[in-house]
Amino acid sequence: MGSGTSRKSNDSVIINRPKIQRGSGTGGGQGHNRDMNSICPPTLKVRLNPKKPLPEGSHLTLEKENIVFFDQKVGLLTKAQLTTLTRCIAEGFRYSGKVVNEKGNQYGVFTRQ
Amino acid sequence: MGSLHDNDETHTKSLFSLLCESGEFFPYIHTDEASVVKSSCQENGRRNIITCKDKNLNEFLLEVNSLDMNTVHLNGVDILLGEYIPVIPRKFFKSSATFIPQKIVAISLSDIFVSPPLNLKDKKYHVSPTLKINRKVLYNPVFKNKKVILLSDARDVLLEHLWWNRKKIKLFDILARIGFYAVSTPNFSLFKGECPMGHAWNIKKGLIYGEELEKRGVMVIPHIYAVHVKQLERWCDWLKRNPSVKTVAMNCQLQRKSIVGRDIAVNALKHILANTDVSIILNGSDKRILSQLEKFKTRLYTASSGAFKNLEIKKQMSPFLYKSWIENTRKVSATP
Repeated sequence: MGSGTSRKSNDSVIINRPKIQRGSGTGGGQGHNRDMNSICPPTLKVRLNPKKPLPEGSHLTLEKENIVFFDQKVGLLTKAQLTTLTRCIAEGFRYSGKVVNEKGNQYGVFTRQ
Repeated sequence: MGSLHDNDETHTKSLFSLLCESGEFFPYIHTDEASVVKSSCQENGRRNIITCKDKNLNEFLLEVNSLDMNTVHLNGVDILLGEYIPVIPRKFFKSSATFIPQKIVAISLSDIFVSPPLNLKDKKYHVSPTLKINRKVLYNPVFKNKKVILLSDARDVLLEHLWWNRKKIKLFDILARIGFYAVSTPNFSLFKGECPMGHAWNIKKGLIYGEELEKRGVMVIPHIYAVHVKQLERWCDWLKRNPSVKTVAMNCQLQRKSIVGRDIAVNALKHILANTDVSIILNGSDKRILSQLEKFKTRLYTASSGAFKNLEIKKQMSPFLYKSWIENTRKVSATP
């Protein structure tokens, strides 16, 4: 929504390629273009298991399925998450990871940029 | 005047503006519009907007039957509204309609679903997996004997989801059958600094949306956004070619929050009001915007849910409070 000079950071969307039209009209059709917002969700959240609690907001990186804080491996992506991220990175999206504290646990939240 | 913000430091062309090729789509995009582009049109991954460099641009243009606004003709409406249109939030749907003196009220698009359409997870909005329009939303007590305008203002996540799935979910058929008095077209985003191709495409999407609703017998109120004077000129030209459109809408909820945003809104409103004879429903406007438009006051209507939200916060909803609030808003004009 909106107009002005800056978007709201919580309202981020990928514009999908139009569904392929069949027949007349401008309303779209039963096409097969994909919903990139489902394939590459705005965020992915992974439970972390660091040896010591990490500072909240710390930057996390991905090395294959491993979630890394500096040199320390602090978590692991599931197979499904790894597949999603690999595909989305190939599509040109970048995910930036940060440590988030929630209900006594630590999570890595990877946000689509 | 090019930019709609008088003190704009972005008058100087950036490298991005020099590389923007949207001007090739003249007359539907003027070359001057590229002068305020502040981000790369190349490989933006279709984040929030499409650009002139999109490798599948033709598909997007085909979807809206070119960027020419004049391929869409709308009948529009000429509604005599009160100075203030209450926008009734979901939490008040079970309240009695007698609390609200206005005959014409409004509802926000986000509130016509069975449950909230978006979930905020990890600071990002996601579309609810159980998204479903409540076809009987107007059966709620608060709408009894009211004429209800649907203001299709919502977050991009929701608007783009609905647009992309419009055929699959039979969006226009469902909206037409609910029985709204009138429906505004969505406020597809226009942010300054982004590629004018995306702006033009979003403007056209809104018109197509309105056209689909009118085909189904709905009274349509076009929503207008513009961040460049050339866009305003095209809007005014379109309004002159569609003279029965006498009421339009503009959402100011985001614009009102910054000086630059308010400048953009006020300049756009002044241009439209001075160059056409339309009346404008301002959704979420405030005194800082309205005070600059005093001479056009009779053609401005304020739609707002602010009073309900204040009551909700205080948890003191009662007929007495509501009536006293109404009295108060009359004294301070139309700015709740």
